[in-house]
Formats: sequence, structure tokens, C-alpha cells
Amino acid sequence: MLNVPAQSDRTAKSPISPLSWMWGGLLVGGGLGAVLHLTTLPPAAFGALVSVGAGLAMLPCALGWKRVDEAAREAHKAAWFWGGAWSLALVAGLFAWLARAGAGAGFAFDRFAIGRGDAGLIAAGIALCLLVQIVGYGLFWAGWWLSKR
Amino acid sequence: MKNRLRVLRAERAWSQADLAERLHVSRQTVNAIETGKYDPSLPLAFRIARVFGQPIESIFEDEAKEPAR
Repeated sequence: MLNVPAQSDRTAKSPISPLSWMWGGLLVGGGLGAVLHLTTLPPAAFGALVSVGAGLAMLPCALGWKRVDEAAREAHKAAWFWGGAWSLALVAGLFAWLARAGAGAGFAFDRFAIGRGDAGLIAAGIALCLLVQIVGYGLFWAGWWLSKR
Repeated sequence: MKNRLRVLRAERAWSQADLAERLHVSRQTVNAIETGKYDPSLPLAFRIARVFGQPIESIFEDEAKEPAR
């Protein structure tokens, strides 16, 4: 009647859980980041190696993604799309306020800089976007599963 | 989309965890499908049909289906 495999090869039983693979990715990325942070490489080389390290950290994540089931994948995809988009939309208001207020905002932007000068401020802006996207993703991911209970 | 997963599972005295193991998905996924809050992909729907030995259309019902004239 139905000529389909008895099980999905992607979600076949594995002794290592999908979450463990993803935690592995975080450990690889975090470990490489910590090591690189302690070096005194030129900025361009430092940036290139961080990109390479982030790419390496994605490998265990990719293995975990292959082993996770379809509903869990859907939760991750929806969370990145909606959680990430909504959180950035909310930050747009903060961006607009800061851009309009400028130096009259009542505080020194330099306090939030990651590094020296304008580059440090830009890096802080990028970090802020990443942070709010991760928070938005986490909240939406939890909400997705709660709504499916 | 409505489905008869809970009934078919109960007929076999399987827990959600039992069915999840047979389908190679998480128990949470089985629960989400059973409660109609998550529609499975076509490959998973075929796996479900195979596990229960029934055609897909006898397990899942399209709620948007036009009534017979």
C-alpha cells in the first residue's frame, strides 16, 4: 500500500542527542572565541579567525539539526523568523530614538562601546542586534512549544 | 487538520512515547499532532500511515474539504 521507509534516516536513533550536538557547537565556538580573545592578533586576522571559528562551531550544530525531528525544526525556524524579526522591530524604536537624540540623549554612548572609537560603537550596535535577536528567538521558541501543548 | 491518531493509538494501547519511538520523533511532536496544533509533513504522515497500516486519508481529514453535494 505505502512504499515508504519505516523510519527517517535523518531522525534515526543516535546515541548523541540533537541538543548535545548543539551544545557542542556552542562549546566549540565559545572555546575558540576565548582562545582568540587572549591573542594579540592584528584586527583583520582576528576577525577572519573569529569567522572561521564561528563556521567550525556550526558543524556540530548542523549534525544536531539533521537529527532533530520536524516539529522541533519548525519551532527553530519560526522562532528565528518571528522572534528575530519582532525583536529587531522593537529595537528599531531604540535606534530611532538614539539617532534623533544624538549627544542630547543624556548619557555618553562611549560607555557602551566595545573597543575604542567609532568602530567600538558600531561593534556595540552589532552586538545589541545579535543579543536582542537571540532573546526574541528564545522567547518565541518557548512560546511555540507552549502553544502546541 | 483533524486526525484519528489518539484513537488509533488507544486501540493499540500505545502511549505517546511508544508511538513517538516508532515514528522516530519526540513525544512532544506526537502530542502536538494529536491535538491538531501541528500538521505533520507529508513524509511523516506517510510514516504514521505505515505504522498504523492504514491509508493516510483514513487517519487525517482535511477540514477545508468541500461537503458532498
